[in-house]
Amino acid sequence: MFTRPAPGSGVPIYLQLMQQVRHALETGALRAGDQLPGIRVLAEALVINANTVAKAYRELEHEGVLELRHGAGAFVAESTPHAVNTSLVAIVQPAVRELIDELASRGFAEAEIRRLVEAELARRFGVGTSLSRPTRNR
Amino acid sequence: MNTPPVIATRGLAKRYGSFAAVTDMNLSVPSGTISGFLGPNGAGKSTTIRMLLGMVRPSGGTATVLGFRVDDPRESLEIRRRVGYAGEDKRLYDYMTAAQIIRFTRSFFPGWRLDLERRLLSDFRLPLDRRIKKFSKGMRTQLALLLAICRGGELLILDEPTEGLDPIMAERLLEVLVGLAADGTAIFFSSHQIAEVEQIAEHVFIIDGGRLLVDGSLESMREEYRRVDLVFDTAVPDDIRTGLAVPGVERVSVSGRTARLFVSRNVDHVVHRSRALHATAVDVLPIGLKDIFLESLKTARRTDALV
Amino acid sequence: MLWYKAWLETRSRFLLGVVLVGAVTLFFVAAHPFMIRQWQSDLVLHPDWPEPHWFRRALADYPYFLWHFLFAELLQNAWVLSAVLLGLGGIAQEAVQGTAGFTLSLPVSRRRLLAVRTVVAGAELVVLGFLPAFLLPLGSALAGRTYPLGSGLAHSALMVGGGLGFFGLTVLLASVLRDEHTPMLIGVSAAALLYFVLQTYADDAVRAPLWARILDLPGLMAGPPDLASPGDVPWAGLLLSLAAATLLLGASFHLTLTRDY
Repeated sequence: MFTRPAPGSGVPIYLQLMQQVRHALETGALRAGDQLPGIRVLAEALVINANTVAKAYRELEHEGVLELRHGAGAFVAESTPHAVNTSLVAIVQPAVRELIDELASRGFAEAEIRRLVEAELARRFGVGTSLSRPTRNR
Repeated sequence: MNTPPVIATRGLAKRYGSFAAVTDMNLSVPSGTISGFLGPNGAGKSTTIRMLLGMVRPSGGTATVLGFRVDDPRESLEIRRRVGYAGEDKRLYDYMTAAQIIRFTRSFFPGWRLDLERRLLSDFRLPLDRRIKKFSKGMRTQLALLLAICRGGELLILDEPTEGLDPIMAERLLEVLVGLAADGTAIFFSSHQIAEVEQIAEHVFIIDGGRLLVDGSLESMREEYRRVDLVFDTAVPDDIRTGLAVPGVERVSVSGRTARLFVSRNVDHVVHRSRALHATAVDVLPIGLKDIFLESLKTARRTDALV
Repeated sequence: MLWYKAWLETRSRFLLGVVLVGAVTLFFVAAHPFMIRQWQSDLVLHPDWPEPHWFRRALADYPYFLWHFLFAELLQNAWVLSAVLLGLGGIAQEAVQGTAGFTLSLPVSRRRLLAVRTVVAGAELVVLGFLPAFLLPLGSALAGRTYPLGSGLAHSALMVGGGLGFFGLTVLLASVLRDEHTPMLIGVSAAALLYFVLQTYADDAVRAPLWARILDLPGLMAGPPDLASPGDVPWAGLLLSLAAATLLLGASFHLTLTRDY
């Protein structure tokens, strides 16, 4: 279910992991009550730092997506704020795919498309991060 | 989180005659995680590491590893009891077989990890009864890493661990390191492979010319370092450098109507200032460790040239 | 396990020494009757040939014959060569071979590393030195002659004690020079040069100058042909030579403890 994060993208790995969990919830791959892999297991499987996995789980718990039960592991919360209905995703995804296919057929390279998308995301959600959420105040 | 650092140096220096290999190095390597040590060739990585192991005497400053002073021969012995180490040069005794050198090394470490020995032997598929003289470079590297990892130390110091390993073996090694760190072993490793540092390290140190340039948590660097591309209507204003002289702007390069900023923090403020300079387009892009590394080196070398 | 490492590192040189020392020793035991027969016929056929100063006694005295060819000459050469070879190795040499980083990462002090290596190589050298003391009586008995064990032991002891300086010299050279072959070349050349120069004064045709008498390690190691009582032992020279060896070893310890690798 999880895929290797892209460490070189400049996007924090824990954010990429959080995104993967959210995506899995949206597609229905993960449902309320499901157990997630243990921190150590996931870290070794993805070959990333265990503290990074722990941080992603903690943040998701903070958002109410996961429940960390002491000693038992991480579970998807019974009512997640991210419970998006799957059908909406199913409708939107082809539109995004179409746009990317269109750009690619016009000769845009992958990096250029990524740049365009990320610039727009930054415009919409703030400049601090280009994925998933506004920058935190620090 | 308040556990003391596993490696702490203050003003550590090494001079060879008039050549300063390491200058005023202040490292604080956190416990319980993986830290990467990056720098170009000749930056002083290996010299620093060899000082930590007591192979090279510092010319100045102080350093402790797991709380033991590196320049005291007796404390240095304690360091070597508790630290797994594989150096830059991974050659081993040619006259021993793999089985012999494993038995030899094991005899010095009561906490030897037999479980890891078995796992690594089967991962690496090393021929136990062959003399090391007949090993390929990759096999020698694997064996040297096994001999470092299985010592069961609280801290593992590896100098260029994946050099000479094929990508599959390198990945296996990273997997083992991630597992060890999850169990509480602190790992400090130098590498030329920025991608692998980026993959498993939580903390990164970048050095050049024997000096520490960057010291920070990789995830917060990913959150804070940005490349900002500015486009101006007619030309880049002459006062752009003074206009953008705010903390966080490390470098400004101008070409035609565009300016590119390398920003280490405060990106919101930088964007705000850029708009005040009437940039027509402001693109903010996250940058990977490779660019952070290259930009930091460029910035440091430029500053050196100015001084 | 450090002992095991030191043994593995030195065993081929030690075995070479065993072969060399054993072959030289047994050769003269076996060749004695043939050489004597040849000399006796020479005396009859060529009465005009010049006779070296040792000739008459070697002809008549079997232990003297062995002393002359072995302890004063070829055995001594073989042992000195072994001493030079066994002095090689150590951390500086490991630095050249690229294994110093591994060795120095072990929880062992440099003092101990060097001590174990020196003791192992030194012990092998002592074994090589005393090997003839046992081979001579044994070989002689097999050949139907006798050679006293006590005499062999005394000469072996003097040879080892007088010659440890050669060992100390290469141990020091191997600690100073970061090069694989130079210490051996210098060690072997120094020994060869010493033997070559002192050869000039060997027959007492010319009286040796003072420096040659001070540097006459071969003469010291050979000692007088008969070592019957403690009074026959050149104590002063022996002590001086041991002191020099200790000094050389001390210098290499000091250097090894303070150097960067």
